[in-house]
Amino acid sequence: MRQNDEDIIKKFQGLRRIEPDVGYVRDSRRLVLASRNAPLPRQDIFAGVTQSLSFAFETALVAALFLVVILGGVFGLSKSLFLPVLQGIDEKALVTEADAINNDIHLKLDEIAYFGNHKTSTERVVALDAKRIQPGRKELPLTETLTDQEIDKLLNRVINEY
Amino acid sequence: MSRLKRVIFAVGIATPLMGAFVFGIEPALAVGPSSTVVSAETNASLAPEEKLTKAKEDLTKALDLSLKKVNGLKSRLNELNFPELSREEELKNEALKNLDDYADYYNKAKEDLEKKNSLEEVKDLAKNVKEYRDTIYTPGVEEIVRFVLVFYNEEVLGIANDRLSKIETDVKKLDKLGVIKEADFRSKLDEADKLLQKAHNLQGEAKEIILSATSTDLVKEKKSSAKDMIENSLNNVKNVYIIFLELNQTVKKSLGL
Repeated sequence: MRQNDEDIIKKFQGLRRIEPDVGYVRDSRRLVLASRNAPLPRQDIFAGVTQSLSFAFETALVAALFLVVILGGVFGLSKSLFLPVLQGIDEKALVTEADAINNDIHLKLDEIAYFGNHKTSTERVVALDAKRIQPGRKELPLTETLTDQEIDKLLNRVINEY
Repeated sequence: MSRLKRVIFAVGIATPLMGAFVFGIEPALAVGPSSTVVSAETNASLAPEEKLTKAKEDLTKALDLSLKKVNGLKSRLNELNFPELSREEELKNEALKNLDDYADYYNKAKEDLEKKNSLEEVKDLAKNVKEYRDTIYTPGVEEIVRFVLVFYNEEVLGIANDRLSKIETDVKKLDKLGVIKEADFRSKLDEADKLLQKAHNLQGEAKEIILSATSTDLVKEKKSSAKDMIENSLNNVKNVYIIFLELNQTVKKSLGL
């Protein structure tokens, strides 16, 4: 082991004596000295301007696109905010009012029909039942018309069914 | 706030809850047809005492509902306010007095019912009540309903006219801003205006007939036509709201909303 270490040390000491080839040293020195005095390549002004303009144009284009996207989104989202207050065509209020009025009128028209066309309680009960079972017709909600129909039905039952 | 305006307000507030709530509840007085669907055979096969009990129950229920109906009509009449000593006020008071008479009759029938001890007696009372309803009560109520509806019609027309004015103002505003052209909406606006005008004329005519005095046959016949006028007028208002909703959609589309 000790012997091996001494061999390695001797080999490293031998490496210190290694030198480059004389010809290689001479050529390398000449090349280095020659390059130090060589003039720098002259910059083309036109190319420089073009390069700057191109960079500016690209930057402007990207910025413009960015603005279009951002402003377009903001405008789209807040379009309604820029509009004046529209009380007449305000959708929520209009739909609510239309629904309430339509339902209410529907009930009133049923009431008119119940009393209007049929003079006896039996006729009225039969007519309203027939109206209710018409296909596609929305079931009548609880109304005063139904109270009358219920009264008429109860009376008919007492008279005829017991 | 009028009854109809209260309804519109309530619908606006309650719309999100309505589906489950309104159709889900079973109010104590909400008597649907299904509750009375008991077959005639089932009733016929009952023991005599049971028949009497059930017949009395049914008649009591019919009389209670009749009283409830009378009170409902009284409330509807009392919501109408007219100038003192006007023809409208006179007819309203007359109608309220008639309703008091109907209530007296039904209360008296309830008292009589308690004293009945046989099925035949109960059936006879039911026949009397039915006869009273067909000859006295129903024609009277029909007149009261017409009276109430003619003023309801007036109220509805006011609301619809108000809505049309607001929509016209909106269209003009948007036209000034240059976002839409009023001319594109003019035909629909004019159509709505014409329908409302016609509805207003029908209501006016119906009101005149209903407020007219006496009860001659000619007036009775006219009163019947007043019912048709109210019906047509209300149908016009319904159609006007269809146009309003179409206008709303077209304006929204034009604005890109």
